[in-house]
Amino acid sequence: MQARFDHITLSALSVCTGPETRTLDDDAGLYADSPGQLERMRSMVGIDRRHVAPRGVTTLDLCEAAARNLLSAAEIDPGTIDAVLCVTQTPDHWQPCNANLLHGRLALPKTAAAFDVNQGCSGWVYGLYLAAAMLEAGGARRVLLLAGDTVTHCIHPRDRATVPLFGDAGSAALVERSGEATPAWFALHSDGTGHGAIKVPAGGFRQPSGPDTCVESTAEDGSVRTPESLFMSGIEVFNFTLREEPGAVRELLAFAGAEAEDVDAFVFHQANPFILKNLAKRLRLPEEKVPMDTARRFGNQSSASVPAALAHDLGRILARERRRVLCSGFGVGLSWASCLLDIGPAPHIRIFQYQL
Amino acid sequence: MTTIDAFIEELESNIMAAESGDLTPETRFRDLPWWDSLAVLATLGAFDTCFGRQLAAEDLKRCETVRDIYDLGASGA
Repeated sequence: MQARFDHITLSALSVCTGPETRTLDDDAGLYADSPGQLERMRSMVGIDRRHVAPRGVTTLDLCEAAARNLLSAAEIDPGTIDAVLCVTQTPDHWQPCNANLLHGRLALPKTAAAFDVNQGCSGWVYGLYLAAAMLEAGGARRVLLLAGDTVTHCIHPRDRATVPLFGDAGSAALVERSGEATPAWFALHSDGTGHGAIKVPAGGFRQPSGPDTCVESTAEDGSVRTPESLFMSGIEVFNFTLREEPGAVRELLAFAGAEAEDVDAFVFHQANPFILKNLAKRLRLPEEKVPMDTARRFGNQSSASVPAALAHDLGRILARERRRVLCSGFGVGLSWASCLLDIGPAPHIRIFQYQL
Repeated sequence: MTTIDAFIEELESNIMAAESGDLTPETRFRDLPWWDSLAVLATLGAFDTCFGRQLAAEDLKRCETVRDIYDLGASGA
């Protein structure tokens, strides 16, 4: 589906990354039998280091730290927040949702709406769409959009295909109704037939946790997983991305009546530099317009990766100047979502590491 | 139309383990010591770059040589 909004603005952004920094060398033990593969993980996939959260530090904690930083640095009175949305697939509990817990921790007013959105790598754009719809409908003037995941907590420590890719982070964005005309275009997509490409098979209500869901098995490539571990098919995800993303970007540009040259930066979900380079190549975009240093330095941060790239790769510019940015997330679901909007000057844009 | 030489060049630049000249049309890629899941991803990338579409995992499974992969792309099947 497509939608256009005319009066929303992203006015502040904080991103909090996991407190521990891991380099690829820390994971060398996974490739003890093939040191060449370790080197190619480094040179080809391109993730140098990751910020991860240890057990006990959750998405809720990372989002709370990001939100507190945003509210205090941008001098926002929590009493003026009309709604809080939390995009995550790694909540603290089955019930209640993270947004309600954060509503309590941040002392937001009882007049504020609070709910979670269960999406991953496309989730920040989905959340921004919902925030925009709430603002445009007139019931809200200020929405706090929180998005984050601790995907590393879902991955088996001996899954050599997946461990070195992921980091953990939480983000907080302040989305407000703007007085001036600030058009934003959205296009949201999904393909549920591809659900098996990225999946945690057990631990929900279809196959609840039990002795059988903790049994380890070793895949063809030597990766170890249990039914409760995240499974990701690199091949399927790669092909999905190159099949759907270029068309989605072109569709959104056509909907907005814009050309690729009009866009200052294409901020894609920071899956890894390898996939981003291939995407840039396929769309014939110059690499300087496709930020990927966030993936390189922090790892794949799932729903927090787009705001992290806005803060890390573009933060200095966006703090001072206005830029036309196309944001696009793609992944688990399968699900992909893109938006085109002007961001900045937003004086408070910051990315920082969680302090234990 | 991408030539087989251009495809091999793209393949070698994508697969970091391959040196220029390592691969020929007749190379049985699965026999290479460094052929692994990363090499598969690099091959999918080269295929997409050269032919503008995706190489399905099951189609790659049916290929034995570099030329087999190229022929799949060049035939437009």
